[in-house]
Amino acid sequence: MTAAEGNPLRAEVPLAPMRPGLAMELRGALAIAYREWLFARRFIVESVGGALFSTALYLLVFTVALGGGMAADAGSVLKHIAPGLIAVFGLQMVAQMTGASVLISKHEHSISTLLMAPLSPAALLGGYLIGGVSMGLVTGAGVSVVASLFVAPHPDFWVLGLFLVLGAFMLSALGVLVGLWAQRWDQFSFIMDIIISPMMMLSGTFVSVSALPGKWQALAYLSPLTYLISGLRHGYTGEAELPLALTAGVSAGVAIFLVSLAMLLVARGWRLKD
Amino acid sequence: MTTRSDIRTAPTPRRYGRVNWIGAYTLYRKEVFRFLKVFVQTVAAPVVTTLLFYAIFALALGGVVRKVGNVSLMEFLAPGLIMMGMAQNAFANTSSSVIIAKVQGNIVDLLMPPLAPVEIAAAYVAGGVTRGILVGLATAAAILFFVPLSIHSVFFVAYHALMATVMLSLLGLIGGIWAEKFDHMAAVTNFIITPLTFLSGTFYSVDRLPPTFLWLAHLNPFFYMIDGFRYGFIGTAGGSLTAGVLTLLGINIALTLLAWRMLATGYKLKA
Repeated sequence: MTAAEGNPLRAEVPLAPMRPGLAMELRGALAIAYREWLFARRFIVESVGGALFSTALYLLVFTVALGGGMAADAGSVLKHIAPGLIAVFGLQMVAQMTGASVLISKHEHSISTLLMAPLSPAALLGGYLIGGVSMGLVTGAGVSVVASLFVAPHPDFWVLGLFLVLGAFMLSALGVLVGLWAQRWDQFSFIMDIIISPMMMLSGTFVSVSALPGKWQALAYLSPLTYLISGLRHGYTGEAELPLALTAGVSAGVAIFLVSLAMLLVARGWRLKD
Repeated sequence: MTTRSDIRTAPTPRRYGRVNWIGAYTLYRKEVFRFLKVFVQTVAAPVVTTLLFYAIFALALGGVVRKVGNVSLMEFLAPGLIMMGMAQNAFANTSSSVIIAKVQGNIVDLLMPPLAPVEIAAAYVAGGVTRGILVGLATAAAILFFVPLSIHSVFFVAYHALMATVMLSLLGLIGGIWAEKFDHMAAVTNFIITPLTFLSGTFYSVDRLPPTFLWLAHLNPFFYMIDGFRYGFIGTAGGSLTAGVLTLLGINIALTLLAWRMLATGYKLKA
């Protein structure tokens, strides 16, 4: 006799399978998002802790290094850097986490559990995105708060919130794409450390794009991250370098493109079912 | 099919003298191949990261026109950043190797062969030093494209490069033996090693610090390894060079004894 048979209460209430439909898709997506949070909790020291701590460390180093000769404009340099760090640490971490989660699931073959579940590809991708975006909002907000210990922000919360959401979507989708594409950890590291990281740091994060020499300026304007970071800076300091319509338009366009691409690939089962 | 003659020529145990050179060298080779197999992650990525720091500080701090003492900020930053790359990667190599072996369970392959604790420690440390120096050379070569580096004293460059990578490899070995999960290791890397390499004069001259912190900086071995290494390039130092040379030597002897003791007693390895 099994435990279930021995328990009269259990025997009377049999488990009914959920009916396929929107409610089930939603529940499945939320379950995957929850799993993403549990995954991130395993790496809490690197993910959330690392993002907040690195922000403080960078701003501390810049504060001390700028303390001397350039005291007059030290404040403005720090104020320029702080919102960039929201993207560099707060949001980039999301791409790392989402990508690592997909890649580990592929390596451990636990991805088949997700593929076998009666969920549409949209719910599958949606789960990863909900997990990533919610994490990005938490760390993005956390980094903003830590940065405020070093510089006085004049936040425009609506703009900041908008760009945090757009950036979190952009980087979660990017994470899923990198996780799908990569088959080994060094491929993953190649994209993250040698392509994304430099792009993040050089897209107007530390130096205003308008201060770059001509050739580099043109290159920086090609990077979609320039618009995202400029938008975050607008939200954090209240000063717009580029028009809001341009920054929001480009960021939203890139986010939609990356999400659609991820949707297409997940629906086809690219590098998942072959 | 086994025949009588096969049995007669069956392998006999290898004989070796006081030191198992082949064993130690094999472990060293394994340590080097372990990181070379994923060199994008272990060598190329750190070099790119270091160069990024260089670019950022050059741009954000106005490095081309600024001066620290009598050298330009660019010349000041280069040795510090090269040292930072070497130190972080020497640490990463030994610590990740030990913790991965422990988590995967293949640490027994290290404990069973006839290797003395000191041979194990030496092979691991040599692996970490190799990665550190490789990252340092690659970074220096890349920096040379932008800024001409001149060497003031070959001895100080070589001594501090060696002592720093040995120190960080030993710390990585000790940390890897102590840690039980990747989390522990990540915490040590993020909250101890990275801040120490960041805040010990890599990016600024320590005399910029308030007096209370300046006093602390002079107790910090990371400060001496960066300061002495930089002296080898630019010819000026922020602290006492003799104190630096002796501090690094003393710390390395102490760490070697600790690592040897941990391996000899099997602390968290054989329990």
